[in-house]
Amino acid sequence: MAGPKVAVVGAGLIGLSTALCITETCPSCSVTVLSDQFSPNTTSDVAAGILIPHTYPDTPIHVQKQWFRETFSHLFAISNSAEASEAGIHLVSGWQIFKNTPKEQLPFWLDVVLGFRPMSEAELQKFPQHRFGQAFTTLKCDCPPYMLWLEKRLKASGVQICPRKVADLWELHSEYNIVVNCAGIGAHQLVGDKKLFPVRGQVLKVQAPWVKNFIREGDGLTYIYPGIDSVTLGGTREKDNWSLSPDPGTTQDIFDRCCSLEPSLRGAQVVKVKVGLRPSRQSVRLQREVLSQGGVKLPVVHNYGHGSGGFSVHWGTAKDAAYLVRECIAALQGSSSRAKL
Amino acid sequence: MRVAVIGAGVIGLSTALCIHEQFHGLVPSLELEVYADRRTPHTTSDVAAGLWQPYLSDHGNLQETLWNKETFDHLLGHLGSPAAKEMGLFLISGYNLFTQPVPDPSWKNIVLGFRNLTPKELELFPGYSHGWFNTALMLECRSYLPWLTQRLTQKGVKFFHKKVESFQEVSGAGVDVVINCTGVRAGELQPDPELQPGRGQVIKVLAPWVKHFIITHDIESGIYNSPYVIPGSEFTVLGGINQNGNWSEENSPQDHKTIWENCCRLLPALREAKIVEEWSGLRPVRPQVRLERESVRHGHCQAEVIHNYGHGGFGITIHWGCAMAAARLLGSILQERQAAGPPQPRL
Repeated sequence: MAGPKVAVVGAGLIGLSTALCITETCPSCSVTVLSDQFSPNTTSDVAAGILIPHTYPDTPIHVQKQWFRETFSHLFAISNSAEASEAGIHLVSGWQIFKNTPKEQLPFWLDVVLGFRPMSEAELQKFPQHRFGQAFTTLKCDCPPYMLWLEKRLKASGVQICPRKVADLWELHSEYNIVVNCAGIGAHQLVGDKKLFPVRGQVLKVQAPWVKNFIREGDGLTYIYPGIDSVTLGGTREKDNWSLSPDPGTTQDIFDRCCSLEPSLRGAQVVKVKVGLRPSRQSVRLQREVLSQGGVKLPVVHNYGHGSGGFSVHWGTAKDAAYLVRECIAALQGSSSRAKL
Repeated sequence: MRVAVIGAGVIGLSTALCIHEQFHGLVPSLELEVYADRRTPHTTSDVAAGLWQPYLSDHGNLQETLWNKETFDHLLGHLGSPAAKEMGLFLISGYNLFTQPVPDPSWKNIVLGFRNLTPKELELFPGYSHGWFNTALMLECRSYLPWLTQRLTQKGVKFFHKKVESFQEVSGAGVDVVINCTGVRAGELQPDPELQPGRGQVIKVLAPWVKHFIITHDIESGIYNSPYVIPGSEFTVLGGINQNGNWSEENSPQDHKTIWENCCRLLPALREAKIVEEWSGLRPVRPQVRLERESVRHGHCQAEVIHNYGHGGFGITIHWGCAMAAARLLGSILQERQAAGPPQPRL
């Protein structure tokens, strides 16, 4: 079959990186990205983009670790190259701190990040309310630069990026051979996945260029992530809250919590307040499905539900999704050659 | 009691502040003055990136290591205060890179989280086989010197924008103690063959994605003659020049090329960085810091001088410890004066 036509629904981090992986894994494909939102208006653009994994309760740890390792490795190479600043990828060091010593002191990803070790007594003195901490160096993907860089690479690979609101995956069956569903939180509506729920996050982007280290509280509620042009202060984790409007009370609360960890932030100017709905799920839905109506089949690959861990595992899941697309192609070729008999 | 500080770099201004803090309550008649022909942003201190880091080895000079520690601890204590931002003070982490194994530095327990680099981290820096990671402090003089100046002005310290030609010029005019913080040009007040300029040149660029300092070392070429990248609050400083005996304060195109090519090899993404400024400065290099009292005679005049100069490429790193030591020397002068009773008329 000449050049299978693949539609990737969703132009967030997952959609763009999956589309890119497909062009690399299946060079004969023609890939089109369809989405109603593009950078800087996707959920991905709200996130700070720091590589600190979230743990999915229902995905095996070794799979999550593999995804993280592949993502880290891939971005590490870019951060070390001449393209680093254009791609918005940079190393950042800092501390994850806990008010009480956690049960699990050694996370599964400790040997993927760089230089992981417990914080020394002297380092902990900077955080008098915290008893335990971990110091390490990781990567950060700044958005929009990273998203724009992905779009640039996609266009260079001949991928079409088209604004289109897809109401139903089936509507694509006549134009495309395979559909890849990277709709993020949109999958709740698009495929009726009731296991997918929003976890609302509000963040502040502030001007504080003297902040060079990240600080994250172990429960993930309060964090300070220095980026290229601003520092992201967060945050909230509000399950099942669909509101995309910034809440002023929350803004003040985030600011106060961050200032208690980093007093110098009091002098920082808030430039923007943003809200994103983390597309959360007990496990990332990364699987094939075949939709069929009236004898017509449409292979679908799902790649959504990354919750708070999108940046940390995006490349690993994009690669796996691309392999699933390859399997779909093989299956289509198999059935089409059978049809020729 | 009139005390004149000569020099308004980081050493002069901090020594003045330290003296004021220590003595203004105790010595009611204390009048503090600062004389300088150059002020921020035109001092040697302003050229420096502002990273707190001593040289690799203290050559057994324990006193200097203690002054370094005193400075670090003093600054660390100010980190959480509202003044930190205005002072240009913040934490920063980063890398020291070597092409061979080296002994741990004297300051490994002063900085935070000092450790060796892992093999994976070394992959970031091809050509370097060993290295350290630690968290230290930045103290940007572009902010710190104005902050010190403001504090001093608020406390009534007088500033004189002029070049002092001799100790006698101020002591003859009624100043009781002169604090000599003249840095690289101390030789103009009193010849000092041990004091040499260590010429440096830096390129300031916009590279806000760089969050770590990276200092490379080449044991053969000597300290700061190997590329370094130090991200500040506004600009990232690229450097790696240290020419002993070179008095030129002009930017050299050859040195520009050396710095640019070496730093871009270290961090390829720097090629995209926009160059904003370029500066040269003369580190006041001396085998050790001159921090001592001297009675300087000129005819019938006697001047009490406290020397505090020769801090090489670690002035910011050591400044507070030295300021405190200079203040202690002033304290002993004050004690002697008190014990000696009222001053005798000079014949």
